Amino acid sequence: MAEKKYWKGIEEKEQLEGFRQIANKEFAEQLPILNSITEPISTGKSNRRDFLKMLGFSVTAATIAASCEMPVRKSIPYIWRPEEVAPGIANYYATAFYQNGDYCSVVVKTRESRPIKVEGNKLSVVTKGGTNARAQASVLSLYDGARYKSPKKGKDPIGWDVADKEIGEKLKSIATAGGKIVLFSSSIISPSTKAVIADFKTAYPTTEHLVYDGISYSGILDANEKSFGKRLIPSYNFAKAKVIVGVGADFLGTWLSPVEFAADYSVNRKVSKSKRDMSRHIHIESVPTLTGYKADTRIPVKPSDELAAMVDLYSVIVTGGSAANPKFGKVAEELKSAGAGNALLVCGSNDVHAQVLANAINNALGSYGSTLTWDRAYNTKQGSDKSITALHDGLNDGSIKAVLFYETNPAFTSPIKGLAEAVKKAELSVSFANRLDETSMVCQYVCPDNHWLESWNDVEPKAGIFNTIQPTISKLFDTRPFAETLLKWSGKEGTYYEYIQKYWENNLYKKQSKYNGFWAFWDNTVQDGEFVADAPASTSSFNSSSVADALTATASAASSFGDMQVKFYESIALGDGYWADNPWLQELPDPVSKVTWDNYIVVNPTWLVKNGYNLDPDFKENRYGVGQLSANGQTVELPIVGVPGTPMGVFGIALGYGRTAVAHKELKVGKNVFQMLTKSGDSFVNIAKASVTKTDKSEQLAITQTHFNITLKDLGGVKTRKVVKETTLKEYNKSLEENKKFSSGNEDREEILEEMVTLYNEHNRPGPQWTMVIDLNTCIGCGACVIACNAENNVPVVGKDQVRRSREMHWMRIDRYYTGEVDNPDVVYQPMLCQHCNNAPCENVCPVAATNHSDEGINQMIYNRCIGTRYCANNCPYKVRRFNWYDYQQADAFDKQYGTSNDQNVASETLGLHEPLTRMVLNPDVTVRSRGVMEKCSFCAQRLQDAKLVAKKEERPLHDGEATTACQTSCPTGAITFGDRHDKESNVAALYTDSRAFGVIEELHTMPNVLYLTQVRNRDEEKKYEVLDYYHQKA
Amino acid sequence: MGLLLSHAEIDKAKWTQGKSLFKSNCAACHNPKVDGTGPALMGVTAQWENAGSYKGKTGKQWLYIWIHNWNDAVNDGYKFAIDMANSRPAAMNVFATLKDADIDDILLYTENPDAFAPVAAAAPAASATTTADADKGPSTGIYLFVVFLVVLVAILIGVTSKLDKIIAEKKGILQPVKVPLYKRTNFIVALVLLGIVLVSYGTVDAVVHLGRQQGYQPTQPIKFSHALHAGKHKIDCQYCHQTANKGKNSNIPSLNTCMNCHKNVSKGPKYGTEEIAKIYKAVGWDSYNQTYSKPAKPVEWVRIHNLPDHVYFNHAQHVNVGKVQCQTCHGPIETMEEVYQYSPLSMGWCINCHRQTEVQFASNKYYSTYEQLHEKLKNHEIDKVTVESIGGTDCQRCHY
Repeated sequence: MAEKKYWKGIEEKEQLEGFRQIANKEFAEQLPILNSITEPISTGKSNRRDFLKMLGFSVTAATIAASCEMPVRKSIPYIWRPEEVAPGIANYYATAFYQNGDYCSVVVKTRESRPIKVEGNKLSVVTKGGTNARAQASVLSLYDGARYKSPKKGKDPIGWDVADKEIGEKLKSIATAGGKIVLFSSSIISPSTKAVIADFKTAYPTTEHLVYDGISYSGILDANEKSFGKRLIPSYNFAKAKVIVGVGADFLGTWLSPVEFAADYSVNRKVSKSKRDMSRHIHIESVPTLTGYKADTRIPVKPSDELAAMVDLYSVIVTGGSAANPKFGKVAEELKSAGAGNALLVCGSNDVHAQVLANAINNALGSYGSTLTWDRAYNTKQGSDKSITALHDGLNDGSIKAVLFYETNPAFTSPIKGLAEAVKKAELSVSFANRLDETSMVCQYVCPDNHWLESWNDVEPKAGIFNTIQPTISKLFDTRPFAETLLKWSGKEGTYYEYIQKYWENNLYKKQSKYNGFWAFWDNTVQDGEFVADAPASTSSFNSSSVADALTATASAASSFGDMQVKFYESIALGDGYWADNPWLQELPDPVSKVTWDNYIVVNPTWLVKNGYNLDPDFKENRYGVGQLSANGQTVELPIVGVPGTPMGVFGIALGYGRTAVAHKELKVGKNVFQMLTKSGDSFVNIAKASVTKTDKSEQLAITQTHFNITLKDLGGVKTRKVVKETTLKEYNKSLEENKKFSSGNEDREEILEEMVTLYNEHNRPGPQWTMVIDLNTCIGCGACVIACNAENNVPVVGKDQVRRSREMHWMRIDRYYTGEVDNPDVVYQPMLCQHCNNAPCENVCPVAATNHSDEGINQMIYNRCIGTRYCANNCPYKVRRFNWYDYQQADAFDKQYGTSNDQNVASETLGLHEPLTRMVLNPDVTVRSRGVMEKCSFCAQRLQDAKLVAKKEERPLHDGEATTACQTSCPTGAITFGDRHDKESNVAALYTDSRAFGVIEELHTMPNVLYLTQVRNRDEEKKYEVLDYYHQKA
Repeated sequence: MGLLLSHAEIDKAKWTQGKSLFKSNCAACHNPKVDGTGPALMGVTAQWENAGSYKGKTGKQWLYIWIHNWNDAVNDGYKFAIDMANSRPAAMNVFATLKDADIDDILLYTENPDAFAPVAAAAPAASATTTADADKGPSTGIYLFVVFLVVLVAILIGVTSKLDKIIAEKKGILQPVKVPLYKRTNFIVALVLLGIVLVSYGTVDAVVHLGRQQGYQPTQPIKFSHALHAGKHKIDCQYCHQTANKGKNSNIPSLNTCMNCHKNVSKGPKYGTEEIAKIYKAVGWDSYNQTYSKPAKPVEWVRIHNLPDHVYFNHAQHVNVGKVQCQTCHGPIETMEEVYQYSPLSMGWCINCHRQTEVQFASNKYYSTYEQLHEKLKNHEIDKVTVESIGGTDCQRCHY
């Protein structure tokens, strides 16, 4: 077998000139300031004078600095110290994150009563301790300067008494006159809030509650209603599935319940000596997603062929016919051969008919009752696309007199044009948004809701699974919980907190028998954060009456989109745009394209060349050609990015970008494409017929794809330089049977380790040896760890311009390696962080010993000793060191550099990342680095020290699993194992000697403390699906 | 009959007994001279003399009944008793077990609280300057002696050179032209070099001490005396600074901790009521109604021990795990009237201690995993395990 070549992007595969230039340099660009200093000294006449000037300046500056008196600092104790608060000790509160359709059961870390970090709740039966990037980043939104600080009428702040009086009177007069009141919201999963809404409806009987989700699941809900008579989504049990087929469903990244799915999915993806079996995952999709990239077999197709695939799968599996496309026929055979209850088909389309076919297929496969169960149906998606049409029409024809918006931003997410104007026609419009958004800007009143970290609430994400939400900080501004506001307007006394308790006492307390007495039940539930009631009894039989229609409708839809098609997808960071004002998420590189701070048109790289775009963009300026894409009568101009694995003639654009009502200019990035969605029946589908024309324009994009390359240049004497290793399940099992020390794909490690000889004695280290092992097979590249690391370690946001210049500060990056064909590559995700080499190249070159090795095997970076020579970064083969080119956390925070929004509407709301409010998110145990110093992953030293201290105080040994890193705890699939390898009983000690374990380019004798486990693909070579050629010919 | 006796007439043994009974039973609420939770007690005997009779008892006998259980009189609707009970917001405890003789002793004390008051006030605390004395080098006598020797040598050299010159003149040898010392190149070079050395030394020394504040003794908003609380009254450090044992910070006590005692102790030995009144003001204490009803405003203490931002220091690690005494770093705090920074808090000082201090290696089970070191100890390869030997001087123990 020929040696596999891995590449991070098309520019590396083709070794393009621009790429080679930056890859060979230590840093992407030289400091321009260097020229102005070096020139006069080396060539000019006045070098002596310059020297004296500089000397004089330095001496004066040092003298002034030295003569400064020490500032007088105050220590201000509490007047009454709250019993649970001890300064310097963190408190953890179990609560639940539910924002914009994303749900995670979490534990929030607070320091001196301010939340600073979100961790997963390990007691959760749904998310099982995992989190996603959005949950991790939501703590930053708490301290967002764009939050509403009091109720508002137009642009003027008013008091709650005024708001209650004015709005209450208006509502009453509208209701008395029989005028329609609409409460418009995203899916509400709080049983108490639903009860409050019912009360509100009683007080104002003309009220209608419309539910609409920006990323719509209307199609699947309507299909289930047709097939099973209930508008719900059943529970997907990936842990039980042996064969998983995804059709356009990014279930590990964004679809339905990705944190839960990632956890369940990884159960069957982990292989070891004792578990030699793994599930098989086939993914049929158009625009690449991380789920497709993780699949064993990925079949790239046009968006309309995702529908055609459903038709083919149906005819083979249900009717026993043949498939029009032989590939889909093969997929269908694999599904069938899995056996009843072992297969799972996941369809991501928002088309009712396609989903009806999916139900029929799953029914025929016997999935219901096994991989799909109705007892724990999801509540997180309830929206209907009919709602947005009803709202739009009702407002325009004047039948809706009053409209209230809760947790929704239809002025931005509406696929129908002109909703913002329509809202202005209402007699009364109120938004409950807690921070600036497009809808609240056109409403007459804003009655801001509390942030979720400030609120009491409850949620029921799946039937019979309840979480309490408890506040972790008192409210920062003059806001009020949405439900409490509704209660007030309904004329009810009391707080929402009391209401929730009453609701639980009357409804949920009865559902359990563990606790005797309501308060015992309540207190324990609040402490654990979760209460699991018995699953509601549910039987359902499949009703096939709608299948025939669905089949013809899907078949005709599949052929109606033409040769050039665009697919609009949800971005993993921003959702439907709800998170667009969160700088952490904006700076998170997209798992597929590695683009930050923008949306763009995804195309096949070959298409770029064929259509006259430069495959080799100007890497100095990072300019990308702009194309004009037209679909459904709308046009949008966006830069074009070639992404391997995209079929020819397919374009992809992320939704959620192009928000305009944000506090900073820097956050106004990308274009809004919601209005380009295609209406299909009642729902809006994310596929459209498209045409693209080339423009002369170009735009700068911040793509981290080729930043920080592990260079693979040949070095004298080093034979191989392997960054990622992979094998197939068959090969792996074979090597296990042969009892090889190093399993298939990792055989070369034997030789590498043999060649590692040294003249020096091994270091004598009596204490723990911190070690991390990352399973490449279960890492899905979702980026939760990156954001968790940001939050834990005060990693700064640098802004688009700085990212473009390769200056992003993320301590952890997720490298994504391609191998194989550009049109359908294999992908390996590899989280790359400081490898804490026991023979670290960076340590030897520091002139001031600012980086050295600790007794516990950690490569330490001492900021206050660093003088910024950057030798270490140059010498680091893994390129994991980050230099502070600016004072990113203070004077040079990105909003300072670029100014704030000029928009009059938002000018008063502006507060930046350097402001005291936002700085409340900083972890007080981690130094905030300033300009001119190097930084990098510390293995979360503060967390290790903390865990050790807890054990020492209790005078007992440290147990395995107590010392954790932020990336490890945030990982939804548990791909990261961390611990002390001197502890023979620890998980990490076992994995450290696993036959799949290898160090990245350890041929250099770096002896890393971070090892990786090889990727294993459940795929026989003969099973490989060829790329369909007709795409190339047609495009 | 009055109880007010002259000094000579008081039985010291009974008075001392009364004082101790008072402290254990009454002092939580009463002070002899000042109103607290309960009223001042000086003069109660006279008050009960004029309190009429209850159940046929008058004067002191009636007072015994009151102290044993005042509720009886109130329940009987006796007016004096009701007025007395309502005179303060807080209700008095009952002391049914106190013997009449004990009450006599207590009264003897409360009526004459100053009869045997100790004369000597608390010894003035050592100030920062006195501790600095220890660092003084050799005495001035030695310096003077050295100067004397140098001068002597100079004179002798002068005399011999003069004599040499006279001899030379006598012999008629030609003398070279005399260049004055300050114009000689060698001298100037030497002088400049010396200057550079001295200035550099001075600069480096000054820079090394930048940001260090040993001896820093700012004026605090309240004249709180550790000498009185920790020294004289021997209040445990962690009664007020509870979290030193638990977490990173040793907390500055919140005002509710102060009020545990100062609800009743409203007068100090040195500044009277002035300083304690500041606590009441800050915490919003209404001493008449015994409620926290006034506006509160926290006390802004001046922070004395300042570490730079890039240093992580954890009290629990040292106090709880390391069993280090507070005084090791904070100095003789129990003698400090006003606290000053005793230690330099420099990195050298930290590291030095880490090199010398032994960890609780045998007693704390946490260290049981350090098998290698346990083995070495057993084989007498090493005789102790210091903080340094388990990596306590690694950078990332304090800097991250």
